Amino acid sequence: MKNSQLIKVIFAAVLICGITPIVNAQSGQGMTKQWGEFGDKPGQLKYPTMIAVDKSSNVYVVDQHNQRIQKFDAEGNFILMWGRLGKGPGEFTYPYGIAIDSKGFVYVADMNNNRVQKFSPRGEYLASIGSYGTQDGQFKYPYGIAVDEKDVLYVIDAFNYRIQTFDSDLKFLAKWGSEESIGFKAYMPHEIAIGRDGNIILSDRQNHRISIFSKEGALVKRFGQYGEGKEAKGGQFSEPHGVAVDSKGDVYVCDRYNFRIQLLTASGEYKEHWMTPGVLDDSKHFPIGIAVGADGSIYVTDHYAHCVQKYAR
Amino acid sequence: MKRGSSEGLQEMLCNILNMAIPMRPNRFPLFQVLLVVALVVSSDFLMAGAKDKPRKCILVFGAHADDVDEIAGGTLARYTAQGYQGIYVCVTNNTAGCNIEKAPGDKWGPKFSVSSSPQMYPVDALETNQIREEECRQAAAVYGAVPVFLNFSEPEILLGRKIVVYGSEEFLKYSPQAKHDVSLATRYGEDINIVVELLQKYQPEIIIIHTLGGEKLDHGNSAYLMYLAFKKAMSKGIAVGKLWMKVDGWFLDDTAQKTGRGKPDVHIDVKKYLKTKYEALNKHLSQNGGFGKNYVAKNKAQAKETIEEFITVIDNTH
Repeated sequence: MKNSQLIKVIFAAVLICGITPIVNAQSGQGMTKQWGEFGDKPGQLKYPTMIAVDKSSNVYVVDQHNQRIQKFDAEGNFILMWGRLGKGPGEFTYPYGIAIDSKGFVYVADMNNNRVQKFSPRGEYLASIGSYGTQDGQFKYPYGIAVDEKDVLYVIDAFNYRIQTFDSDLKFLAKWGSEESIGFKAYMPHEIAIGRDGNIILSDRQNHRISIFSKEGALVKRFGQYGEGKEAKGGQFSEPHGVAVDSKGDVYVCDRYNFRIQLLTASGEYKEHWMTPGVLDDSKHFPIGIAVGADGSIYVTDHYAHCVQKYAR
Repeated sequence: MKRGSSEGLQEMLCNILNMAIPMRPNRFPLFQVLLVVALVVSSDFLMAGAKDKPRKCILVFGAHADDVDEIAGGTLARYTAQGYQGIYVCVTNNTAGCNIEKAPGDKWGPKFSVSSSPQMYPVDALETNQIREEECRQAAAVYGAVPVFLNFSEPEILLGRKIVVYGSEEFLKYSPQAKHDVSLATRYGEDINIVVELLQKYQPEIIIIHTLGGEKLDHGNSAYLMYLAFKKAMSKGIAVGKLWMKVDGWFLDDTAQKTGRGKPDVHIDVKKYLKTKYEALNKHLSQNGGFGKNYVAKNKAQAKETIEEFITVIDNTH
């Protein structure tokens, strides 16, 4: 056997052994890259949560238990990181959500410090808003955040059961989401995204649903129901977490205890899903954060496996 | 060089003596020194005798978020109503013990579950910590008390739906934000000092703890932690009053009861304060679904609920 043939055989074997187990027959979606492992060195992660991708396809990951943000290129090569445990500027106490505006500024929900911090793309601290409380601009555990096309920031204020909005200078703009105004109690929603139509998409984790609101907070649509395990159908969820929207307006949802990513239309019709690694191992895997790059690549953080997975469209 | 306070005091007393007893310089230096020493010693003795009194403050020292209400909610309500400052202490970081119904089935959101419902699932450690601290703050507010979180790590945490116990690799990896481990808290001086600082800050007249050697590890350890801190506070001259403990665990067994060791000596009538107690208890939605001991709804109280009983461990007021 010639060397070139041998290489082809080895290459084919690697493809079969390495890629096939993580491609799901139901969807054909395949993982093309995975990076990160438990640790505190650059490139290593401890319980990552949310993830965001900028216009240049740089990937920002909230490295929660390392109390920092890490920035990678689209192939997972480490670029830089910032943050440490603390309450001062640029420090974090269990950060959760992350979003990037049109100018590349980075916003981080510094969850247990009850504030949102703004950084340059290089991680330089710029501004902050928030403290513990119920007033405008105060928070009780900010979770997911998102930025719309006008650089308005939407923040899930989990234990105040509301969404707060801010401009790019972190000046308070508005709040909505009370039980009286939307008709149900959005109990500890975890992630938020902006639809192509400008509507706000909320993963209502404890209610196992996805809710869509207008920018002003009027409930437009609510869909999904509880379903878990082998019998879980498309459109059913078990604790949905991360949500992201692609260029067509389709919605990706991290379906936590079904260990899968579901793809839905903007109006909530189920399209397809694919499994992430870790089925039936709910303490070692957990797809939590999701982001879609400009080229359509999908990035998923696995909270308990301490890694980022990249999937091709 | 900066002088010590006793040196300064000695100089001041010398100056007073020099003014009071005119004499030629250096004529009786030994007499002067002896007189000064005598005065200094007697002033120290007098100061030691004038012990500070504890403040009108009641501190209840619970291991978990709802333990304060469970062990002494009525007593806390009664004393705060009388003008005492209430301190509502949660020792651990509450990383376990929060369960939610999988499918709430109504528009009002999930129901927390305390039952053995097959539809029950545990909530992750970090969220449990947040949920229970929020409930703690709300409960403390019912009494008008100050919530204090000492943030000692519990010996178990929830990762996903799996309980991870102290010492395991997964437990060590998770690194919940905590100062120390409650399982080991009584072994180290720095742990005890955290509580001593708390006593120094509030100087409470009444402190209530779980049963020493109590019915659960965290409860017993928390009680012992305060016991050690109380004694250390006494030795440092910090104004602390009485240490009471709940009558529970081994104090309820036959031997303790027959020998009288389990007999409470403090009886607090809390009949008028049960409403407050249960209002606070019902703030712990994750533990009782908000429908637990709802005295107001039932409008009847068991006889034993109207009296909260304790054993005096130390009385430092004499």
